[in-house]
Amino acid sequence: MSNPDVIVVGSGASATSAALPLVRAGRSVLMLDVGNRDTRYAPLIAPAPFSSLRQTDEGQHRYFLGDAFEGVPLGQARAGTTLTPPRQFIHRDTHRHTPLCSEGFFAFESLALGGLGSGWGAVAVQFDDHDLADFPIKHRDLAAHYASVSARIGLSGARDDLLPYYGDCASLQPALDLDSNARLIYQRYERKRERLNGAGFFLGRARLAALSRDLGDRKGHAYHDMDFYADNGRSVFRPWYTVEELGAYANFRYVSPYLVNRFRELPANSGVEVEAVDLTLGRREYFRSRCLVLAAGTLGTARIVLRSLGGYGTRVPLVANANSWWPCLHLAMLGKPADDRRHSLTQLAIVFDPGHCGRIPVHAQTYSYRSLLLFKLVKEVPLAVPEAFGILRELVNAFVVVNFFHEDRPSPDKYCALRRGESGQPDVLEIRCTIDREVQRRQVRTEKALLRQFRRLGCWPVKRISPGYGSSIHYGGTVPMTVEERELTVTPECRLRGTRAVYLVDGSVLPYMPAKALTLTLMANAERVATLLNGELARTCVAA
Amino acid sequence: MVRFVHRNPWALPFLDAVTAMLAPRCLLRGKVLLMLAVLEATPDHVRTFSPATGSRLRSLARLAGWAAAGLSKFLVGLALYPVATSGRP
Repeated sequence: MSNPDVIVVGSGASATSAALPLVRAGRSVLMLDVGNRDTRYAPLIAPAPFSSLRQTDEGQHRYFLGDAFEGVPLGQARAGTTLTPPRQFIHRDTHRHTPLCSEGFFAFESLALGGLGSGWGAVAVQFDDHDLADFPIKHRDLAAHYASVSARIGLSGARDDLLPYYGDCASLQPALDLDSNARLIYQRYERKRERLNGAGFFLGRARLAALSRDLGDRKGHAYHDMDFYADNGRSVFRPWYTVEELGAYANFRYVSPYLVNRFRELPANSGVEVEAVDLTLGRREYFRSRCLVLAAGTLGTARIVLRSLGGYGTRVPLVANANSWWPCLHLAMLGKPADDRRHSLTQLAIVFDPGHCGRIPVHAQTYSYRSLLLFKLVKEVPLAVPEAFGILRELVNAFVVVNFFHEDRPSPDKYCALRRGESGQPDVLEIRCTIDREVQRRQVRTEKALLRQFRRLGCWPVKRISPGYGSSIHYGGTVPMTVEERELTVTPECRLRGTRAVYLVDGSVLPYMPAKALTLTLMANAERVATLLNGELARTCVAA
Repeated sequence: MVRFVHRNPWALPFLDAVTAMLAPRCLLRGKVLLMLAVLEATPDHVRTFSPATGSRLRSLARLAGWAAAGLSKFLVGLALYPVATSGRP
């Protein structure tokens, strides 16, 4: 491939969603990526149900605990605690190549093939116009791309009470089956719907990028409850499937392990030059293209932009969904056996809209607990191990874990800045976040108000676990999309201001973080930008 | 404290109980939890680690039993804790 039309940096959900329409339109695309993979654990996990592996597999300790016990977290709960040993390749090498110094923020980055999408929880919902109120684009700008991305990655869900909040999708597959725990809650909700809805509490089936029916080579979910460990059957969408799909095109090339440092625009509209380090040889290499699409993750993209524009020391904003976990006891399940056939993903989703205004301050998801094993819970119980373990054995089938996500807005107290690395060391991204105490109190109050309604469904909250700001791994806002011309922002078309041919398509462009999961919107927006870029390339070709 | 337990293995359940409350991130507790994790990820013990089922009443009774046992161990552990952390055998 001579100089490609477009260089795409990264291989995550946004990068692949941008690359695919360009490649399909005949543009030559070069994808630069570090591309770490798991070669250690994936081959060990047979495509069998959790219960059967537990009873028969002598080597299960390797993928449940890890060869270096990396799956036994003994410290405080932090970002990525649900990442099991087979998923820990996702953040491998980040401390070495992309160092961070953070205060009040639990940052988590990825240099993996497929990026953070290699371990995402697969919740895939649309942002509506309430969510996009602070954006310079509207839902109608994304609607066609939501539809196309949803059809490509495969969404399952139901047209239930959450439909007005999640948006419809013609290709929607039936929702994944609920487990016995969630089924009982949902049945009780149906009986009490009117009263709960009156209080602004809406419950529904999770909208997931996980198949309930076969789609192409991917299989409908097998309900093995091994979603935290393996991608057997490829039921849950991972961006690296798209990298494989792209590999079949002659006009696409994937090269790794390359860590992109910076870009510079060439004079006389002759394109962009990208400097990357070949991590195998430790050598700098330069690539040229007509356009550049950055999708290295919110923090990774901020690094590249700041370094390229000489923005060392410049503060850029950072937003993230504050999140918390509330284990609750569903008393109706006490002593009852739980279904063996189940999945580990979100079972039910909750929208709390007490003002009935459509703009929701908090979004919650429920999980049942099994495949992460009991020992992870034992450390949270202030009793001797045998007693803690005995109690948890009694209660585990009755556990419903509610995961809360709060909306977030930029503020002067939340920012990051790039500091030049000393004596050949990589640059360090410094993150400082101070969360307003009143905001925190309001978040806890909102959670408690939601849980008061959840109690009507027989679920009693036990304790609040707050892994810290940033631990949601939903970041954004470092180079936001704005209408007004400002430095270190992007246009509504996501072109970096001050450049002619550099586009940003990941979380960095979000000017505000709604409470809902962001990945589907990032993918739809990446596809939107790629479609616009393709039109732009066609126009410049004709002009030339 | 780990040295104390090596010399006085009978003290482990009580010190485990007291550290669970007072020093949940201490080395002793970490070692016990690691042992639990290893046992849980072994097929031979899968039944021991399976969720308990039965009538709700029986379940509540068992829960009360576990809580009472945990509390008694904690009280004994509380008395032992200063000795175990003093560095004396």
